[in-house]
Amino acid sequence: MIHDESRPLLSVRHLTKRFGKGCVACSHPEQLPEGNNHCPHCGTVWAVNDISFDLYEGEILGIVGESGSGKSSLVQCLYFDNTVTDGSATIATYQDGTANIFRESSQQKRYIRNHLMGMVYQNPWIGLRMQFSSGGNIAEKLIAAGTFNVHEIRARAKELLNHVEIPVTRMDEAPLHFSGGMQQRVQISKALANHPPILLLDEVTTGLDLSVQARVLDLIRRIQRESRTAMIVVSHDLGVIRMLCDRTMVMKEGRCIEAGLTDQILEDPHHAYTQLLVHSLL
Amino acid sequence: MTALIQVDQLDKTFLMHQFGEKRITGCRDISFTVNKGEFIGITGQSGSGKSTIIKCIYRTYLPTGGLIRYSSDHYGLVNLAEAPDRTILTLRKEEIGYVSQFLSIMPRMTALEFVMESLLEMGENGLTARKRAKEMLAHFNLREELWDTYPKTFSGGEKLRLNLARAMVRRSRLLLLDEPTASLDQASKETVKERIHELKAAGTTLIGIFHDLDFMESVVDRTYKLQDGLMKEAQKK
Repeated sequence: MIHDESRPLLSVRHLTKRFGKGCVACSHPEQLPEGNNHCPHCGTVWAVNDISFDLYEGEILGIVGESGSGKSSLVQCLYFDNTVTDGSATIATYQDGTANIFRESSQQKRYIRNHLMGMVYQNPWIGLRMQFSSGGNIAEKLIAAGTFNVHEIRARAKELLNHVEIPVTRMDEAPLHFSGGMQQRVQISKALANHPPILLLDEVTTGLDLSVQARVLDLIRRIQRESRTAMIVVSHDLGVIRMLCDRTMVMKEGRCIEAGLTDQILEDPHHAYTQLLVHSLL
Repeated sequence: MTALIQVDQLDKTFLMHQFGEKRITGCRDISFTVNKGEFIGITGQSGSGKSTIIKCIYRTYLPTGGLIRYSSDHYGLVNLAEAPDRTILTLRKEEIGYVSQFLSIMPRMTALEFVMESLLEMGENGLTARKRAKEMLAHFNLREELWDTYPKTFSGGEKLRLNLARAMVRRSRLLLLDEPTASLDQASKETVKERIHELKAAGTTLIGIFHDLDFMESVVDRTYKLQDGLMKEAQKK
């Protein structure tokens, strides 16, 4: 489908995710005390609290924040790993942007996951089947999207592994025996298998040593340049955000406290927490 | 002459939350006009707010008050002080360039790729981008053996020239120069001057801050001087 570039590809409005039942005292989460996402009465955690944003074709949007700020919960909601408590998300190329994807049937959600999105987790053990071969991991995603021809699947797997610089000779090996950086690259190739227009990347470079990290960042930039995939990059690392993202959202305790151009966030941070983050940067 | 940029009562204050809500003035009540095709130099003491003005125009800083009216090819008249982020990103891609003395480059990107990327972003095809990037690196006298290497370990002067090559390879409508020639040798400054003349001939408007006032005098059409927080037009050339 031809997509009008001035229209957001993904629109998220008032996304809220709470862990716990909630009570009268926290039923309006905006009333929670500043600097806390934890209800003092019922113990409910408001992990993602009224987040709205747009993602455009070909752009990389950064989400930065400390551990527990809700950034991973947010992308997990978008990928349906978590059920949302409230809010909506629409995709311009799905039902012409009229359907709230959170309210779709589980069958439709599977379709969206398999055709319109890719996800790369910080922990490759979640994103990959470690005992399957690398090619098999990619095949799994392709089969889920309706490709059953073995030759086609092998050819695409080779193409993808090539793209992420994994020797094709290792296609039949299980990622279990790969290094962390290689596992992450297999995960990226799996996520890209069906040419999804939206790619979600959750702390993909965290824990990798610097040279491996540079390679993964380079790969992400290449994918953006070559396929105009829209991406959400979640990271606690401002250096990664600075290298990849045009626009950035800063999260703290489930809320978006500041959003803007990445260079503006880094050089002219407005919120006290963002200032603290920037001034802590090495 | 038609104005490309009209800055009107521009204010920028930084509020430092970690230091008892301390307010730091970047610039105050700045007004000036830049006409199409002109080259304006801004002078003033260190800390007088020259860079702040340039960064407000590029929107690395979000102005606290005032207007920056920019006459865009794409959008018509835009107030850069308040325009949406997406508009600013489009303008940076298509119309407004910025160059400072600091090199910011992706890891594992070669010097040639760095300059090419600037053209690819504007929609230039790969072959032309490669050819023009090479011409520009040669113009700025960056040794050919360095083109396919990573700039992290370049000397200060090489980094500066690479930065300039990237910014000046494209024909921006408006180019902002934030002391890009600080610490360049005389020969390199001459190559910068040549390229500035080419860009001006092609219609680029420039606003620049320079460390070296003699160099500045030799390239600008008009100068504004920042003194005691006020912007005054200095003598015409």
